Amino acid sequence: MIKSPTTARTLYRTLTNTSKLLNNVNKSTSLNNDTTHFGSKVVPTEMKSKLVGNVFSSVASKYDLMNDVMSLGIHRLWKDHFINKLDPGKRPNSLEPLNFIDVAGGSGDIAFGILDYAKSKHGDTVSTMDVVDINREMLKEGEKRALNMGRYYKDPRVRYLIQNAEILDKIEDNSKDIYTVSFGIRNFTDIQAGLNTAYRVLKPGGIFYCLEFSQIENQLVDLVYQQWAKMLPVFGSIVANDYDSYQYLVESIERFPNQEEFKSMIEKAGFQSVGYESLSFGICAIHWGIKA
Amino acid sequence: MTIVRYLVPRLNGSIKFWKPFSNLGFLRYYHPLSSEYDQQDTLLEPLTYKMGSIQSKVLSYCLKEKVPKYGFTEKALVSSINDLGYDSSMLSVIGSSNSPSIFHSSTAVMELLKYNLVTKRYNMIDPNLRQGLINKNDIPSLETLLLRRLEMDKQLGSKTLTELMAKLSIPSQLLLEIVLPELFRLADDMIYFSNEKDHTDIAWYTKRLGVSLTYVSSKLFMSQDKSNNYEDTMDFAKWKLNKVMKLGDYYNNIEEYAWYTVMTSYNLIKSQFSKY
Repeated sequence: MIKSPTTARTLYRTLTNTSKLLNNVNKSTSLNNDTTHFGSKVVPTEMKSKLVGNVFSSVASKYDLMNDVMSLGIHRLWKDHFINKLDPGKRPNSLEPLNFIDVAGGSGDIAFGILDYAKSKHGDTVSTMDVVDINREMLKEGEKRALNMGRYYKDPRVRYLIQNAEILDKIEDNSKDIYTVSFGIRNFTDIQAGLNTAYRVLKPGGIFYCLEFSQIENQLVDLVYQQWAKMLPVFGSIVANDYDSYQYLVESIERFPNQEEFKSMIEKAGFQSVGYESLSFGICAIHWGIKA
Repeated sequence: MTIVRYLVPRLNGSIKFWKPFSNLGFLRYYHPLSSEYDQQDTLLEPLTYKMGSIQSKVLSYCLKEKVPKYGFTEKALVSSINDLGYDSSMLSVIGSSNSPSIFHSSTAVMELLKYNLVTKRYNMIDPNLRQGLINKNDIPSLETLLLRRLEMDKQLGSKTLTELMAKLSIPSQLLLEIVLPELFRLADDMIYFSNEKDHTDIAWYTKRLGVSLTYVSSKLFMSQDKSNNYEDTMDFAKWKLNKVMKLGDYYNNIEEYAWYTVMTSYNLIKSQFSKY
């Protein structure tokens, strides 16, 4: 029985310290053995891509709806800003068409958004796009979207490839001008390997462009977000009848490195002029790097 | 103040050792001098790429070869990119650190404007002066630096200058985060690297504001100037600077008189109270 507030505080501190210690043990386990994080769980490295695959197979059909529910539709503004900031497309007086690659982009929203933008703003109808995803179901969703849109389905300019982003064995070295990845890189088993591969496939002078959840810079917004995040698996179970997958999504967001740490990882891969822009108080961030 | 100016190294790290030591010939030879580094690798803040980078290569080429012809436009950039053998993705690379703005056409053009301001500010100062390697007697005057900066824009021509001034004053994130701070840095560099007397009180701000206004008004004058080799602009800039500096003298005299009045009034009141 707790006799005084001081005793309660001491007990709380002891429990907190123990929890921190366990977390550290968890982290060191991840580093020392062939294990990695799957949300808040530690799993064998070779299992992660399979587990992530299961998550996305499960959420694929309700992906767009759930994104709207989870972000209150703001993800559309983030993606729109992402594409506008990138300002992609072959200019009318330019010589060569561009080669885009959108990784973990099965749903096709960024890939098609880029192609639409290039056409409407710069009149570019010749640049090519590789839509790459490790998950077959997600790619099918993208193709379905293209079919419904009436463009980019069976288009010779657009390829849909099932590829592991850490390897990209069907993509040649120094072959792409612009590499985009949107809300996908946190699901990579080895993020650094994914960044190294991005560096490999980009041409010298090519640009790596990433949109991903990040660390909220404002404490008040963070407090509100933490409460909102607790609701997301519940929404997942109501809308998509899948609590666990959305629980994973929330945990994977928490696990992802903050803006500065991720910037260092991009630099470590060899990119130069690396920078980032936080969006909506840092809920997500756009990172970029240039292959010199 | 002169002592403070000589003893305090600049926060941006452009001076690597204290001026008094350099003036006396006590250079820290056991550390490599920044002048010995390859200038190609220099990072000119707030630019996010080094001078030897692809971005800098394209932008400097564009500024020198294409801007006088096409102005600060995407056409000038595309033409430069074609000449140098790159493709359109270079525009995304160049504009990557900027956010799109309603009134600006392209993030890459915004970067071109930024590059023009930053590199010309750095080039205005002799590298030896920046590193404190120049004798005290050879330090240029404020007027010399102002005219040197204006001369750098002669090659643009009046039409391009008008366009430049219009684009720089568009209400946007670029104006608040780059253009205005860059104007302040320019005025600060002009005062700091010249033999002009500096201050530690409110005059520190007013002097910089005065120099900024002189520079902007001279630039506006230049954009409408039809005289041979912009001679009228140079005369205008000298006249304007002289006027602003005189205004500074008036301000100092008024401030001194105000203090004198306050102190004598205080002493008078104090002496009256001491009777009781």
